[in-house]
Amino acid sequence: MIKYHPSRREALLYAVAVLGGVLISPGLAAAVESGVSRSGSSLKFLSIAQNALVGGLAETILPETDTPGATAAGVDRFIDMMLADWYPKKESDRFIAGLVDIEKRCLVDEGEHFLTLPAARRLAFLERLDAETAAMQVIAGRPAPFFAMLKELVLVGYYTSEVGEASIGYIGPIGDDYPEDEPVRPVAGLLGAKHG
Amino acid sequence: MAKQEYDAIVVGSGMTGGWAAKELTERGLKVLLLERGRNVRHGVDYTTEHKPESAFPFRGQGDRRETERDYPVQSQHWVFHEATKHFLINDRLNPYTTDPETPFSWIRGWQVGGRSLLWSRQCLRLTDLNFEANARDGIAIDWPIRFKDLEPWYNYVESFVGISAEAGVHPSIPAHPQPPLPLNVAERHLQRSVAKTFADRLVTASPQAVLTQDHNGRMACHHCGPCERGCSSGAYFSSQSATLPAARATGNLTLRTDSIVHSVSYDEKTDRVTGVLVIDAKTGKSHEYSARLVFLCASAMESVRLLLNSATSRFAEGLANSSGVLGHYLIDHATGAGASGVLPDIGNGGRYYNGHSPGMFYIPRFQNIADKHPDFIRGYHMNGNARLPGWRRAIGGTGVGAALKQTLQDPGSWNIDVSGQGECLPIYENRMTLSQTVKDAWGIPVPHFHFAWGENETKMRASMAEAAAEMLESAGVRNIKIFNRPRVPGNDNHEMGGARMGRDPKTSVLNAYNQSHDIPNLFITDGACMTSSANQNPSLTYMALTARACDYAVRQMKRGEI
Repeated sequence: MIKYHPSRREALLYAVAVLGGVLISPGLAAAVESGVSRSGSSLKFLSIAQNALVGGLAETILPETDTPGATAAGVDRFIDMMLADWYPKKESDRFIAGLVDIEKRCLVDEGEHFLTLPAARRLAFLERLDAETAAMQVIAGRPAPFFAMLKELVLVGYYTSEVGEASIGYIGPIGDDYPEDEPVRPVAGLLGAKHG
Repeated sequence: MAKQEYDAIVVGSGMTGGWAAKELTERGLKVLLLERGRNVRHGVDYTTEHKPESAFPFRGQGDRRETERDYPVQSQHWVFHEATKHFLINDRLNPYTTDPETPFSWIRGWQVGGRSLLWSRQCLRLTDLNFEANARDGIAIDWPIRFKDLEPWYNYVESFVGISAEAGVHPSIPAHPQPPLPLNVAERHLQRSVAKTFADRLVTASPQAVLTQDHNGRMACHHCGPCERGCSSGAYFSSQSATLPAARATGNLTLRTDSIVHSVSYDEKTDRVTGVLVIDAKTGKSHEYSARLVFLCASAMESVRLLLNSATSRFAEGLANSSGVLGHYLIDHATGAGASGVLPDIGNGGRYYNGHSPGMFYIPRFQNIADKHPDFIRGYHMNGNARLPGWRRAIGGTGVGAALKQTLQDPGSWNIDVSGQGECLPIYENRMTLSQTVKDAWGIPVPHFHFAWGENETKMRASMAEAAAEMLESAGVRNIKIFNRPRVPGNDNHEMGGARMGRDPKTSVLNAYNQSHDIPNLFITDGACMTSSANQNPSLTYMALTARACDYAVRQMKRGEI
């Protein structure tokens, strides 16, 4: 897992992202779009402002519950690494464009920047986007919608982190047995469109 | 004749090379085992064994850029993963060529143990239904052996390997197996449904070279799941876990790694091979090693390539190729067709699992047994698994927030799949030649492939998809999705043929003992020798043929015939 020591500025932006408090820097939205500065940070692709937004989105998608959330799992750093080292440039650039769009959409729908919204409204906003994305037609060969790409990165980044693995009691392929006979009934009302 | 350095040279340390080394050293021969790749030590060098995704730089996604640049072919195969890529070759540095309209997917593992570190462990015997097929159908040539010739050797290798299976339920199943690997609750459900609904179909545990009981110093499987990362407990059969330790124990084995065999040397006066020319992969220096006996176990395509590259004035079309069929009649298995679905009403235990049995289920061939199928000859068997999707089911799905997280505390509904593996008919046109233009890093011409699926394979795949769907339906599986995507030839990792066995030296390269018709001290016992592909996974047959050929070769040596 990538461990890092945030600068004071990053730490402040993090506090904002998680707690949904008032922004200290009024130019934050502009900073997300221009994506200029990551100086003083160990970020590889995202600017500090973009990283803060990604962190806020991730924490809303997989929040702290009785187990730690995306922030504690370093999902934002994972996403930064994937954008820098894994995706082709075209797809990483498309992610940034999507990030900018989500901010604009939030301003239109909610009248505020995402990171200034209280938690309940952040969740409601993303639930709407999630439902819209699910209703979109999947066209083979066309790139996935931004929100789908973001959610996949958050899921992978969380559940393949030490924190995320611990949250589901997964240690690794070390030895175990699937049940052979009829075990406990599954949880009712499982989410997950593909396979229930 | 000059004194040889060794009694025998074995080229390749994979599935068959390990066996040849064991059988020949145990009969007192001093054996030089040549491996073109690096050393991989049992246990110590299984660097990714038991590691969770969080331990990998790309969390199991793999380094996409490196994959696209260096592993475009290897990554087509299911075994390729961030955790296993170090057991597969770099495609960019080791190219080959194909006819443009017939792509070929050549999966290679260049290290000690070869693909015996990666194989899916299913062990099925060929029967006379398979050995007689060419003669019965009037296709290619007859095998020079029948089941009764190989049966003692199946027994022999099976008792050394240790195979776990449900005893006696089908003739393809090894004799005297250890108890089978367990089927899970969803797989058992399918098993019961198929037994009730289809009189001619059987769902049983796949017979696997995975121990369920301790055996010969190797430990029973602890169900961690991904065998192909390396199995330090030795439950999984590989050269490392089983045959090489036995060979080393004799004191007669010399293993040289990083040794590219350039060609086999032949002496026209004595009409014998005398040894091999080796290029040191690290220094580029060459050295001739001599021996009284040469076994080619380099993997089917590499053994063929080696002989093509060893042409002499007598054997202008490739060493031991007076028949002209060397490189021809390549075969693979037809795969890529089946069905999958969900079983939401079967309990899953409500938790995530830190591993699982490496077993799968096996449905033996049920076509063209009693009745003639209207669309195709020969047949296919089927395999599959039921697995829990875990958190990955949320990718592409709906849900955000605490509700999503809570849902993903449960591993999800059983996903079950069934797919087929079918026989491929041997035709002359499916062939390998040496490239006229491209050479490898050591100046040796790379293989050039021409391989196209035939109509029989296409019809078989359609049948696989239909059969899979109806079996899943019988079990009440939901959301059944049929798939039929022919894989690129070679992608099943069962590429064989090119130096087939037969009775007639005019139409075959090898006789009934895997011995070259042309040169008595040259043997080939890897997949190149196969006269037909059957539908069964071939490694068990390769092992049996190897042990039998070694026994014959040494008896011939003692009689002074070689």
